[in-house]
Amino acid sequence: MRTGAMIEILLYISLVVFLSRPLGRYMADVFTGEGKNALSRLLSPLENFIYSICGIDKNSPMEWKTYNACVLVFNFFGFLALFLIQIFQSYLPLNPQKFADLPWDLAFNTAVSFMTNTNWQSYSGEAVMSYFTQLLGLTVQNFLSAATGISVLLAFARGLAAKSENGLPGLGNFWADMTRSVLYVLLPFSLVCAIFFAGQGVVQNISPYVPASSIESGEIQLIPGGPAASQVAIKQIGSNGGGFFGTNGSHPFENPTPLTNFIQLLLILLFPAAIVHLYGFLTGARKHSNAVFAAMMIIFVLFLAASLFSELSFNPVVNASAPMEGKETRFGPELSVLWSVATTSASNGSVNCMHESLSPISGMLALLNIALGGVIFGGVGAGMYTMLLFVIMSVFIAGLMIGRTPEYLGKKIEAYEIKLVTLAILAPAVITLLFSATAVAYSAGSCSVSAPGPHGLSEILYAFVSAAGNNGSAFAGLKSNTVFYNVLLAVAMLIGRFCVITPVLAIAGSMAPKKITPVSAGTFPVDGLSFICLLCSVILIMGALTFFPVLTLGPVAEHFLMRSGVAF
Amino acid sequence: MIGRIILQSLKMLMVLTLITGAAYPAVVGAAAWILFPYQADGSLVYNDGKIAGSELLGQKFTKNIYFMPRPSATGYGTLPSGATNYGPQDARLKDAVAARRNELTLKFGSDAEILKSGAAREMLFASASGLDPHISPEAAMMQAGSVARARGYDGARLEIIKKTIEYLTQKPPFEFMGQSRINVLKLNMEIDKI
Repeated sequence: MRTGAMIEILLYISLVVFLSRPLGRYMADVFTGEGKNALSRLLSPLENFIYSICGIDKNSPMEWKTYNACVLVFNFFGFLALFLIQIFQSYLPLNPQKFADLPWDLAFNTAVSFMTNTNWQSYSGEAVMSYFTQLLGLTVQNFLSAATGISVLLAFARGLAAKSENGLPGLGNFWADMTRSVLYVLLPFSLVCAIFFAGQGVVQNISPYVPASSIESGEIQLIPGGPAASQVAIKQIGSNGGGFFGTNGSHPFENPTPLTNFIQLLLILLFPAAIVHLYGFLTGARKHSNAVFAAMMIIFVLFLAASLFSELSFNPVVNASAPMEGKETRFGPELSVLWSVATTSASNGSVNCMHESLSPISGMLALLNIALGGVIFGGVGAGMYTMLLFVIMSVFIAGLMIGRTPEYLGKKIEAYEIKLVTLAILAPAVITLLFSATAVAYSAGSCSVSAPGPHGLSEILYAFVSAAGNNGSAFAGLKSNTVFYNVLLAVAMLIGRFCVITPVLAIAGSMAPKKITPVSAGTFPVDGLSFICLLCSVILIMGALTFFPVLTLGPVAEHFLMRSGVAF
Repeated sequence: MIGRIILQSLKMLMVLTLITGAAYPAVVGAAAWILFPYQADGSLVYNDGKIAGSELLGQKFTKNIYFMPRPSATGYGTLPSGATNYGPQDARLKDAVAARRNELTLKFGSDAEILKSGAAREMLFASASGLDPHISPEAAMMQAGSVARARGYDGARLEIIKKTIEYLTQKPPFEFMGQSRINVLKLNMEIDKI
């Protein structure tokens, strides 16, 4: 490995560790409401104005059912607006390239995809989407889906930490959580980053595409444009990952320099990592959140090391080490691998290299990373609330081992909560395997496969893992813009999103009124080394048990065949 | 109850759409237009007063008098950008790489020996965007002799070409960030001026 790349990776990990804490502190200031935060003087008039015109009482707390209803209704309308914009975009302004209306299935898939923070894309933005759709449809959902994730985590944290002697506590106010997430967290950071990206060469205009006549032959190359910088910033900050251009973060207009590459990489993990600390500040369980952070970082580093080792090894099929297929010169192989691990950890889904062309093991690790549930930092909010399900599961398993009713943050975990946890953890995995099997079994699914051999299975599997995990990256050889995939993938995204959110809020609702029992010698500690090891094992074992059989048929088989030089 | 939630949802969606989908991009656009007009418009470069391309997007060069860019799955088309998406053991990839290896050896002769060390190997593989504007300095040096011969240059002007390559090489920021690279479009435009 190049020394430069090694320095960059170490710097990257240190910055994630050291910057996430102050950022989490800042977010805690924003959401606890009591304290002033750094931007409140500037933005609180706007915040209060929003509440007044929308008829919202920011201080009225909600029960879990109300909170859940708000999440579902608000997201439904977000979906509907985006769907309508796409199927009527030719009648709307800001369409200098005269792009046609989108077919219903693609519009449905895209609307679900952006509403669920997945940002799976069966299209290439520069050839299909008008500027109006990109701005008022896609950019908006980049913000709102991220804010939804943060809000659900806040409600979960409040439920888990609620002290019942203060009367029946609510989970907070969804509208206030949304507004604050957008105004104080997502918007200011996006603004600064977007302007920086524009300075580096990310386009930001609403002009028609420019015909350029090439130096050599005068052949015309259309230079695309669009409001890309503003969307790229929130795509990374909000764990969205949907590219303005088809090839996402590998497109020179989306990620033009090593500097933009580093900053975008940092944004991918920084916000999800900060949310771990935010949870610690909100619940007061600082040691616990540090332990969760450590568990995440351990798995991240393990995956990164294994992926780097695999990608930099010799590939006898092409007779080269660290092949550059599907990678960009300015990043090289190491930073492409780093991105692939970060983006699949964080349920982000943007790419700066083509995952389909990664070595079998690197591709598998990207896939497995999503399949673990998007809990290695995960999406903003979504990563942490899913991780907490694994934490509750770990505490439950520890409780079984010592034969004592498990407690988490002093509250008893009972059968009802464990059923919900199991549902939320299993639903995405079950749907992934079921739909993959369907796609393999029927020609409507298998005819979209472009890769021969075991890699074809990986293509299908990756698509459904990515959809149900709300990640959005792809083995992009799969021709997924068909009615079959557009609909099935959208259903997987919906299940992967809301079959987790609703149980999470239900658990919050049932935990909130429970009494806090004081810590005793029998309490299983949720910090320290043994907890970290238990949590890591639970995550890895669950992921491995669910996906190992199918992985052996795809990437693992591929790895051994490739080692012996077999090509398909 | 549910009616109230629906009404609040619609109002919130409207307000937040205006803030995040209109006001925010407009502010970014205005700032970019004032601070970075060249970059915001796509880093366009001109040749004899005509737009010749974008500094950031690779374009096709096939003649021997020019440095060649990396292979592109889309033939440097921009609508859409794209990669081959060949898997690591795809026979199409194997054949394409073997063919390119032969082609480069035929074209650059002993200069192509460098490929054996693993340097300049990006010339064997198609990029991710299909629009990679860069090649490594090693890949440029590999081509220098051939370009000079095709232009009928003497040794002195070959030296100028090599100096130009060195001059145009973009080092990684802070010495470690990303890879050394050279912009093929800029390089070819400079060579035309010699």
